[in-house]
Amino acid sequence: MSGALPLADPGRFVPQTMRLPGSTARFLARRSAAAGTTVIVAMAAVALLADFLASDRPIALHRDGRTYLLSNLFDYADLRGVDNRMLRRNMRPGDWAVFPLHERGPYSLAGFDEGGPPPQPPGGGRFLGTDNAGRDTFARLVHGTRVSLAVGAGATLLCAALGTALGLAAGYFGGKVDLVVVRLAEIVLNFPLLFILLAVQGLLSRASLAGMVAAIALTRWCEPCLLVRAEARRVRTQGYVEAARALGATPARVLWRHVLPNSVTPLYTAVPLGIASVVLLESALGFLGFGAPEPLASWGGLLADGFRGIGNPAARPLLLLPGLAVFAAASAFNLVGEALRDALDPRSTGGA
Amino acid sequence: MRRFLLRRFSLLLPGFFGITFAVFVLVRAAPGDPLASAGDEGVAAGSVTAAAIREYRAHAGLDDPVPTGYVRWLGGLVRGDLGRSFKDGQPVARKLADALPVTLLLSGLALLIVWAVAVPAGVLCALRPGSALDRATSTTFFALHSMPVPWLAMLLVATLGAPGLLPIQGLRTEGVDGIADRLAHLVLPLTCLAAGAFAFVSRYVRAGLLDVLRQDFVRAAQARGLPPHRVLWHAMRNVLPGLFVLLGLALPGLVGGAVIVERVFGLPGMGRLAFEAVLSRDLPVIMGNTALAGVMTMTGLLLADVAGAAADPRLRGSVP
Repeated sequence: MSGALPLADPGRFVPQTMRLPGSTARFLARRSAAAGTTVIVAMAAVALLADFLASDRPIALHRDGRTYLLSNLFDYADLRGVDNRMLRRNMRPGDWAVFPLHERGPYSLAGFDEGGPPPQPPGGGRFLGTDNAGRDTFARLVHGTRVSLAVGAGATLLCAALGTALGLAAGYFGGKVDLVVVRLAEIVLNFPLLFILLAVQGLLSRASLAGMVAAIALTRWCEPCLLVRAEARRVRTQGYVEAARALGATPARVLWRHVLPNSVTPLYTAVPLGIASVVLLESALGFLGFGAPEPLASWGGLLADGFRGIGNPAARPLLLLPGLAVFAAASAFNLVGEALRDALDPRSTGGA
Repeated sequence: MRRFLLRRFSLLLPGFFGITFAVFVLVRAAPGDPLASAGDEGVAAGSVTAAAIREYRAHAGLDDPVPTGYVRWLGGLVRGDLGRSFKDGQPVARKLADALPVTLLLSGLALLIVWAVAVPAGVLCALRPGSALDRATSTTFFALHSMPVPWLAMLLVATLGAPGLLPIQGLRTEGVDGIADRLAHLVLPLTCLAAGAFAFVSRYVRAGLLDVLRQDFVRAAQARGLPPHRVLWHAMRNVLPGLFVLLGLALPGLVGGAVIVERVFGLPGMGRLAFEAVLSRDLPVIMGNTALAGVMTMTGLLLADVAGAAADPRLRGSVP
């Protein structure tokens, strides 16, 4: 620690404008933002195309003179009990099929003729092996991406909606409403979250995705709420709001048309960061056995499967990859969130 | 000041009632009886009579309407009686008293490590923004922050625990005494607990200090010829109040932050108690846990209020 303290560097001065082109440029100029966006897009593609990447049935099948389209998505009565492996063995002349990239689904168990007892090591048609129950690890990872990202995005958007509604009301009306909402938000925000989530998830009649999303939303609305409230308090005193009121606009219209659009800026940052933390939360809940209900695959549930097989070299992929997926997703959303914050905040100094 | 704190406190109590009531309702409304799992097996095996279960239900207040049950529970809470566990009949207060020190030890040490590392790191980064040190620190903390705790724990167990380098279960080896053994048992759990928290604290210090360093009074202090460490202290004084608020807010996390770590490493703390209570629908234990977490949350918020108000008198008047 020698020399003088650094003062503001005039060369780094960023003009105090909030126009989108500038912020978009600043966002894209960051390599970390680009990398994060790439990872997110790739994962979203995997989530959307999960049934084409790993499935028990062909994408299209022509058999006995009949054509089954998208049999990986739709359940044809004629195809019950039929899977890729069986089809490959019994192709007759004139039959054809378009197989998915990976010919195993996330739920079917390994046959007795395949490898030894589960978990099976990578090999054969399963390049990541199976879990303890004999289900294909790659297929479960791919389909788990869908569940985990859906929970992350769904719960976060619900949180944002709930938080925005409460924050708008608190910030705009002020007074007692403000007092109650803010104090409640502070308490819920600081309450040990996992306790409540455990209680909610553990006690629902049966664990369900919707239940988990609702539980997360009900315990995590506080942060968006406090952010939006602060903005709404600022916006409330602006000239255009007073003008609208003076012109006789109803409170609902003022809130909807004027306050809301000008108060949601912090959410551009809070939503990606929120998704990152909900993905982490899902992994924690799933790990404890309170995540997505079996047999649904989710990253958290897969982490728990990996923990069960921790001493078994055959289950090594299950130990490493689900966690890596969570880590990659959380990092990507965090990177994007931070890049957005820096891009939208003209005073920001860059860096973390 | 006292009036301010009283007002803040009075606003906390409804929150406490709200959360405990919500959990109470949830547990009671959940389908499936808290006694069902144990009771049915017992009846089938002939060791428990249906009459005994009915008697126990009445005694435990499970037949009361929910509001009555909640008020009864609150009454007990005021008298310091948290009831007895449905599972093993032990007083809940005793179970909490057994579990709390373990968790406080873990989380307290983890908090200490986080602050001892993250605050100096944040200061150093703020002094050299954009430097290699700054970027390396930020990247490392960022990565640790995005790391799922169960995964980190599993990786540590697989790489360091399995070859026998470090113990992975419990707080001490049976039959072995001594501080070295106990410390060795804490290494992996503490690593997992601390890992994710560095980023937040160091970032807060860095951002806060950077903001202050840009202000005129720092420039003035430098111009007066104060030595750098005195200037730094001037600047830090403006960051500290916020840090104290953060420290207060870290309090609730002390009781509830270790569920996963306690589960992986087999530590008999609050997290494991809560986890097992939920699994067995042990209403009194769940409520005891919630109440304790609620008290810690309120205390933390109040301490944060005190810290904030002590540092900035303006807060006392303006904030609700």
